[in-house]
Amino acid sequence: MRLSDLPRGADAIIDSVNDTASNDPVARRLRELGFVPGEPVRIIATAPLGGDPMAVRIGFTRFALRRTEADRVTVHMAENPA
Amino acid sequence: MHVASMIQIMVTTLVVMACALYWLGRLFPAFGHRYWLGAGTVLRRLHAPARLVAYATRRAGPRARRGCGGCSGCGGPDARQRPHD
Amino acid sequence: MTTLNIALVGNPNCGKTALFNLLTGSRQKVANYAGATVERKEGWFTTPAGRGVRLLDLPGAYSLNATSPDEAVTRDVCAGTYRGEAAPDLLVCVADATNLRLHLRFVLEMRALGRPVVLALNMIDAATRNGMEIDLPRLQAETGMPVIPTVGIKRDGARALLAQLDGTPPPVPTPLPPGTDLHAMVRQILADCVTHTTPLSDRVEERLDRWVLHPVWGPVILVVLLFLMFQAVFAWAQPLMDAIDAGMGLLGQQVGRLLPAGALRSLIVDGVIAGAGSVVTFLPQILILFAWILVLEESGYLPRAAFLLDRLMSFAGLSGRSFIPLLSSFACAVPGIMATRTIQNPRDRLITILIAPLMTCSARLPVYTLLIGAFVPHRTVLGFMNLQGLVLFGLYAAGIVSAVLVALVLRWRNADRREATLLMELPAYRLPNPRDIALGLWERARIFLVRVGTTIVSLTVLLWGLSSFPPPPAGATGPAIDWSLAGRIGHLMLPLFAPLGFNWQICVALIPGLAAREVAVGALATVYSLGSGTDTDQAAAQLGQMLPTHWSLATALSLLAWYVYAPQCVATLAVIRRETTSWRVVAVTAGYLFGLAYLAAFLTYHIVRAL
Repeated sequence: MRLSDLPRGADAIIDSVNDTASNDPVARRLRELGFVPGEPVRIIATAPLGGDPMAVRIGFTRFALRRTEADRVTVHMAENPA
Repeated sequence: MHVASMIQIMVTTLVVMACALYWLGRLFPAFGHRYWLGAGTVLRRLHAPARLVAYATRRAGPRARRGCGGCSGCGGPDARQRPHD
Repeated sequence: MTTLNIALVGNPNCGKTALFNLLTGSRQKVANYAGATVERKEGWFTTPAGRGVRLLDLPGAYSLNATSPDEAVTRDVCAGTYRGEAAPDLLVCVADATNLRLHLRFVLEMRALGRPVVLALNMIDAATRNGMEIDLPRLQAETGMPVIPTVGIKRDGARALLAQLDGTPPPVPTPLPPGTDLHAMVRQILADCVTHTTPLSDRVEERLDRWVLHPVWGPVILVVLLFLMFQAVFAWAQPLMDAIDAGMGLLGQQVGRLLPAGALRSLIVDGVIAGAGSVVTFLPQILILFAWILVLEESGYLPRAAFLLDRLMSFAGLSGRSFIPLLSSFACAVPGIMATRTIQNPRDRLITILIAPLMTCSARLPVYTLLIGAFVPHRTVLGFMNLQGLVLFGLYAAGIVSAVLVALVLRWRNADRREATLLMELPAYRLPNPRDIALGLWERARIFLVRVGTTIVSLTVLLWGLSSFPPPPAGATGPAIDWSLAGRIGHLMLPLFAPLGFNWQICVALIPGLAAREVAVGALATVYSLGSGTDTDQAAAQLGQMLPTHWSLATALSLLAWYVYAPQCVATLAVIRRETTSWRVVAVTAGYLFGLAYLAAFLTYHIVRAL
């Protein structure tokens, strides 16, 4: 499933970050910011009025990102929440 | 006319002229730059105190761009000390 | 000893700038990098051993793979390939000790540059407080560079760094093999060197963000904060402002008594004291506004507000990234417009620049306060809201709503298929340091007073000069000022502005008001003070009381509407020119703003008159 599909409060593990086009700068920046396979991620909030953008926690850093950006990240649910 | 009123009129005229020149200098910095350059040369010829000459030369020098200084809203982009970055 | 050339580099939000300020103090120079609109910050200091150091504060970057002009500059300067910049002798890579998982990656990237690097582990105090224990020698060994703890916000927080600079220069770190998984390496280093004694869920951010980012409570908190800000700006400042007002009045009286009647007394009482004095009265209000903005900035709340508002802003065709430049514009549009450099999308950036002047800047406050105070009655609405504060809020809201509409129109005309990216870090919460706030306010007050002392006093003097000469011809009726140069200019402009309900005094005041919005207040004070006869010994700091007897409510509200839109600030137009390098954009901005101002004033005047 994709990061953008997760609801508020969900804990997941990142599988991969996929480019939407060749040399996608957003995907590359996501990887640099820590969205890497095996990293736990938690949805800490979704914005009012539609849930876009969303706020996630990865490592100790919190980021706000659009659903279109989160679409690039595939995840699976974590068994034990962080 | 009284001497007192004459002095008053002279003083006020000088003050108003000074403000006018100040604004001309701000609106047309090239004009101001040439003025201070000239003032520096004249002062040096007249053997004015060194500090005066240094001041005139400094006013004629290129200005580091600190924002625009034209408003009370900022002292340049660095005026606010952001803990981030 | 030769001067050491150092570059400060690091992720955004690592506290680099505080460290820079700590080291260089006021010995800084801000300019631009040659051939770019990226800001260049350079400073100087001497080490305890007496060595001169030149320090460059490079723009924050997440990676050497640059995605913005700022990051490109950082990459090139670090590599020594930026034309016109000397290659740094030493790179000081600053990392936030409480956020190493993110920051260490960039630190490791530094190893590929082949230059001496040290790691400044910043905010080490916050890390200890958060229950983190960091094994410094091991970290040093595993990162391959000297690790130096720093605390950018404490007075001696750079001591270890200075000691390092005086010691033996560090060697160039061995580059990592190409294709090294940096994230995996960071994870390994953290596992080896960092132990946590406080569980993650107890962190301040976790607890606060639960409310601040809540879908319902989040917006409520935001609205409450903004509302409090407006009430504060209007109500809290009042006693201080009244005190200054009275003081000015007293000063005018004393001077009036000391000097014999004549030109000089008029210059000082009607010109300087009335003019500049009436503007100084607003200092408390401006300081309160800035105190709020500073606290909001330093606390780390603003990116969360941007998060909450992003949806609304995208409706207007903007992204949350425009939020901080637009918010800065509430203080002054000039740094706000300069802050748009962080917006990558050129169309978004241009739209943000075009609507920034609509954000009610602090220089409008004196005009708003004067007119609201004089014409809007003291009344409470619904038992607790001050009517005057509400009207002020309404003016701010008008600016914002207009900005949204303008942005919509611009977006409709320039549809852009490109993706709007947000991807923004929500930094740690910080308790605003009272000392920093006080310093910021002191700086703001100083700038304000300097501006009054130079710009406003000189403009008022010039206006006084124009209003006092030439003297009226013999046998003329009416106040002398009608016959002066200023009076004639005002009357000349009148046909253009009469449909708005402006009288000639307002027309005259608008001209120096182009240099600075608040000058209009001083200009009106001078013009009316002169108009009431030069033998009065009251300074027109009582402008607020005098105006309702001269103007109709419709005129006052019309002038307010004019001020919401009119670009009475050449500084803003100048910075737009600098940032966009286009006179066309400046012309379009000035044109549409004056047009809107005229329309709004016209409608307001006639609608209020009809009511």
